[in-house]
Amino acid sequence: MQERNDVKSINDIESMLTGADFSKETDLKGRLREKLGIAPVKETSYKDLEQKLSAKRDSIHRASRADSKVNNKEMTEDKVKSFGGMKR
Amino acid sequence: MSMSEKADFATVYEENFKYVYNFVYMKVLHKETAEDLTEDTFIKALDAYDRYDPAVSGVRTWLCTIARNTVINHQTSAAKRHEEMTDELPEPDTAENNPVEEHIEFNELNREVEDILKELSREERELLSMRYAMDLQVKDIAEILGINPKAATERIRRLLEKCRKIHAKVAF
Repeated sequence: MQERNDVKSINDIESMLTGADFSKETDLKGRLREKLGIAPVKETSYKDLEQKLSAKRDSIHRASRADSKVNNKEMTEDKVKSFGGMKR
Repeated sequence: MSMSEKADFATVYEENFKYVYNFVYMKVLHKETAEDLTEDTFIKALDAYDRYDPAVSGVRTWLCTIARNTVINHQTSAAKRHEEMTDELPEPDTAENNPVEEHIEFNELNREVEDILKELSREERELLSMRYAMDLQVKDIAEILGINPKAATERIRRLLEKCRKIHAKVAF
């Protein structure tokens, strides 16, 4: 037996016990799910989230461009009206 | 939470598989046995889920009770088989007598924790696995074990100190 250099505190031991995950060493979860006849709960993947975010961004962008066109048109008409009297 | 607000079993399974497997593994320290007993636990849980009342206990406490009984039954049967085969009383439960599988691709943390657990008795491992693998509250652990919460807290504190000493002396 040899004394370790990295002597742990009680808190370290608690963290170790909490952090250890032996379930990563087995593929039982998938096999047992089939045996129990339960469908996996659908998890939203990062790719799904990216696609949703991108679609949302596009729709905001389109709405913003449409607003901007309307505003520009209104502004142009206002300008024509305001400058109209000055035309010679 | 009322019976009508109960999560479906698939969700219970997905959310608790890791806790149950780790609890069982930390008790038996043997991969195939842990897999068999985890499977038995969830089959029993599925069968009994209609009768589970969330108002009586949290789902993890409920699963822990099933897993604990499953492991105890397994160990009792194993001891009986051993007795029949040898026609002798089973040897006392020491760390050396517990089935411990050789390390297979464990990550460093798992290996360190397993090295500590191998030095503990089944009862000691049970207490730690309830608290840290199942993440149960001390009051729930005390209820399952039928002991005073203060006694449970003190046992856990002493066990952590023992683990700390074991970890400091683990052979290289």
